[in-house]
Amino acid sequence: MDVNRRLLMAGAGLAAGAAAVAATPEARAAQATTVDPSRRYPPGRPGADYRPVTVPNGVQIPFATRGDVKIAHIVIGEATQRFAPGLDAQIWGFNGVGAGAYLEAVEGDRVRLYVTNRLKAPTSVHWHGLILPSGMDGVGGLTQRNIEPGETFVYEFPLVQHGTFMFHAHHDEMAQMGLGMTGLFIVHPRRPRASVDRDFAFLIHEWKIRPGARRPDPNEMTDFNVFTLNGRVFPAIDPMAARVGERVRIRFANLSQQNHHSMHIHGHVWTVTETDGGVIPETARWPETTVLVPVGTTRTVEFVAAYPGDWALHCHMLHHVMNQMGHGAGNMIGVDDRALQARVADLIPDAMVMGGAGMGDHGAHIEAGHMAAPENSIPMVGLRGPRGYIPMGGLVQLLQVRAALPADGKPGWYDNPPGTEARPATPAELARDGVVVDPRRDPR
Amino acid sequence: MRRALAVLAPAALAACATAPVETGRAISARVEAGIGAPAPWPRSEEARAQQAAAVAALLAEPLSPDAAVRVALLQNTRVVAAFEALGVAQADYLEALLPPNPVLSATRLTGGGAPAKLSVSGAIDAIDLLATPLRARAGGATRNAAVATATGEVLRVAGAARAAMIAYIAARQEADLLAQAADVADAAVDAADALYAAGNTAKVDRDRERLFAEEIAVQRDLAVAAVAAARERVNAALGLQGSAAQSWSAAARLPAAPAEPLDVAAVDARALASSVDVAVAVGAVEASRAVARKSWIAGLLPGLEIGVERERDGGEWTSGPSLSLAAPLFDLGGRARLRAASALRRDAALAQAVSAEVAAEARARGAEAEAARAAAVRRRAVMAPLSADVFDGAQRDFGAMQISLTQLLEAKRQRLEQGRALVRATRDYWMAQAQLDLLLAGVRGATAGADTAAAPARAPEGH
Repeated sequence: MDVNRRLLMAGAGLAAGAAAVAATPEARAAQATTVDPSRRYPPGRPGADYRPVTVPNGVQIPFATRGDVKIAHIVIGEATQRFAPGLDAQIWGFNGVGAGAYLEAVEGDRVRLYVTNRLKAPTSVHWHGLILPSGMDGVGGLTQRNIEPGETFVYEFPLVQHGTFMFHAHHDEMAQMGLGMTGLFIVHPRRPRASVDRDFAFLIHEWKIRPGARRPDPNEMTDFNVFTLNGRVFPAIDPMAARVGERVRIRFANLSQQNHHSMHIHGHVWTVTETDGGVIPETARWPETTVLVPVGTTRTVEFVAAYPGDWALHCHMLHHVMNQMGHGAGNMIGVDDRALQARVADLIPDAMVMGGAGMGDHGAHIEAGHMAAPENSIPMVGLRGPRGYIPMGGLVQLLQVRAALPADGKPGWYDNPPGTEARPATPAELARDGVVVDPRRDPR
Repeated sequence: MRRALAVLAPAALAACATAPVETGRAISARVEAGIGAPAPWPRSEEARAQQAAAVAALLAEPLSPDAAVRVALLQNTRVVAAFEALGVAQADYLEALLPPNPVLSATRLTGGGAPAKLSVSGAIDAIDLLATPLRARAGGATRNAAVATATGEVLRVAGAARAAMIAYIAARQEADLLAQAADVADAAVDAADALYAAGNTAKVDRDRERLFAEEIAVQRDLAVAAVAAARERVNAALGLQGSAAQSWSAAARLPAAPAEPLDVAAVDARALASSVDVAVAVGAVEASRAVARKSWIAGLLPGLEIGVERERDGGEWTSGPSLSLAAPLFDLGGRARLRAASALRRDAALAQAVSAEVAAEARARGAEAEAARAAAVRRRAVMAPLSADVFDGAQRDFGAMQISLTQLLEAKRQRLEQGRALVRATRDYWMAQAQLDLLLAGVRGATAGADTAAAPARAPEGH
């Protein structure tokens, strides 16, 4: 059966439920769709009908095809999840993953989603951004009764749009979403208008885990200290890689509890092409280097990986690029920490007083064992980079652009071509350009 | 009569010379059995010199509570005073053994040209003479009470010395910990000063640290003063004066409380068996009983005196026995019998009360000592490691920027406070144990510290 025949497969539309999502022409115009909900389509095939998305470190919930229906089994339960070496979290999630599981299907697919509740609490699952029958919307108490512990519910609906969507618990939201019951739902267009070479997706989440504890505190409202991309914190997340000239799509989805995130790309300019409401008309797009991803939305950006190098991509909310930043240390900037260190050395020999010139070295000291930290914690821990310690964590990614990529797709650190890397200025250069540096003001 | 006096007098004199010494040895042995240290009674210059040398040797080393007890028993002159009281009691006892002295009279009558008329007579209080065994029994009971009282005095000296030294060592440990706490608080002030100087905190934040440090400094100074006072209580309890009072040193810390539970089985029976107060009370009852019997006899024949009389009226001597008796017209002897009988019943009732009190106090002391031991063991075996873990956690929180330097220093101070609590718990246990040991040795109601001014035992009345 060729594609056209498959697309034109006769039938009563997308079967039961299709009528419920057969929108008016005005409504259809507002959503991204390339299918006719009154028609029936064969299940989309990865590699044939769509290019699978790359979700770094994400865990796919697989579909099985029975007839013309795609079937998935989602199991909700508690699990231990490694956010990074040194930090495990006791989460509630989907198929063992908190804020890192994803579903992937194709516009026109009919999906049947079995949801088994292994929690001790009732729950429900909402399919965020998807057009579907009201009774499948998953709001506990409103559109359905809750899924009680031990019960398995079935959701079934056609996918009548494409884009980047999400799914999450919609009962006791603060606790259940706060503990990780969020996921990505990627729906590819049945008839893509444009293709990309790299398609990445990230689900952003935030948590409060007291250093030394394991279970995130869902009661937290403001002081979040762990920020994850697909359930991992930088640097424990796989970097993105692309060849020079490739078109790259990055899908950001934010189901944090409270915070929006301003995701910023270095060395490139991108365009926001889609939201979870649909495709932005080309005439309405504008170039950006930072896209704000509010809570409860998705933003899709596209750009050409034009410049070789190791480029940082990170949230520009400053406390979102630190791992387990603690706010109890007080403001030590400008304090003579060495003098204080000497003062308390006899009283508390193991205490390492620092912060007089900032906390940039903190993570390195933790990693080196110079100062003890609570068990199961990674306070301020970052990454030892090729040219020094990178004290960033949390919502940070790397885009590695190379002229060519190795077979495993991992190019390693970038070697800047000679003359293209910042370095200490020489006295001759300073003199040449008339730059006067007063050695008496050397802070060392 | 003469023969009887001739027999009694040397025996009494011999008893007078030897009984206190033997009794003193017995008391020393009993004290050593009860609290583990002898209480010698130096009776010669040589013995006193030996004791002084022994005291000097003990004082040359850091004193433990046990060593303090040994020093006190050798050095505190309250011990000598207690032994000398034995001589007083022995004299009273010997006095009770002797018959009443006879009353002799002689009369010469002249006048009227008649030859002088001579009359000589001798009489003795017959009731008192007949009651000599009863007086001896009462005297013996009183002497036994005095021995018990002396034993109690010596034990109290030992108990006061032990308690004073326990209190001193604990006070010094507490002062050391408070000195460290004050140093920690001063470091917190330095940190607050540095933060304020850098413009990172408000003046009030710094001032809070300063105020807190001053509070700790006050506590430290009071603790230092308490050490000095505790040292003087040790001097008083050990009987130390002059350079000896200044030069001694003490053990660095109190030993840990024993891990095994105390044996407090039948502690009330053990305390009753050795109780000085019970012995004194029983002695009082025995003495009162003898007095009551004597009163009964005296009531039958009030004022009975017997004697002999010889008279020369002219040239011939005539002689014959005499007897006199008070005519019971007004005093029928009832008052004396009432007094004696009431005193006996009163003393018997008091003896029962004392027994009940001693038994109850023994059970209470046993329970308190065991509770104090368990608390001290829990603090050392469980809470001290936990406190170390808490402080380690605070250091880790500091490493994770969860707490500030001043908060870390506060955690250090709290750890020191746990140390103080352990010192106090250990002190309380050893104090309670000392009280229990003293009670089982025979003395109840001994207070902590150097309170050696125990009330003297009440002497029985009526004889």
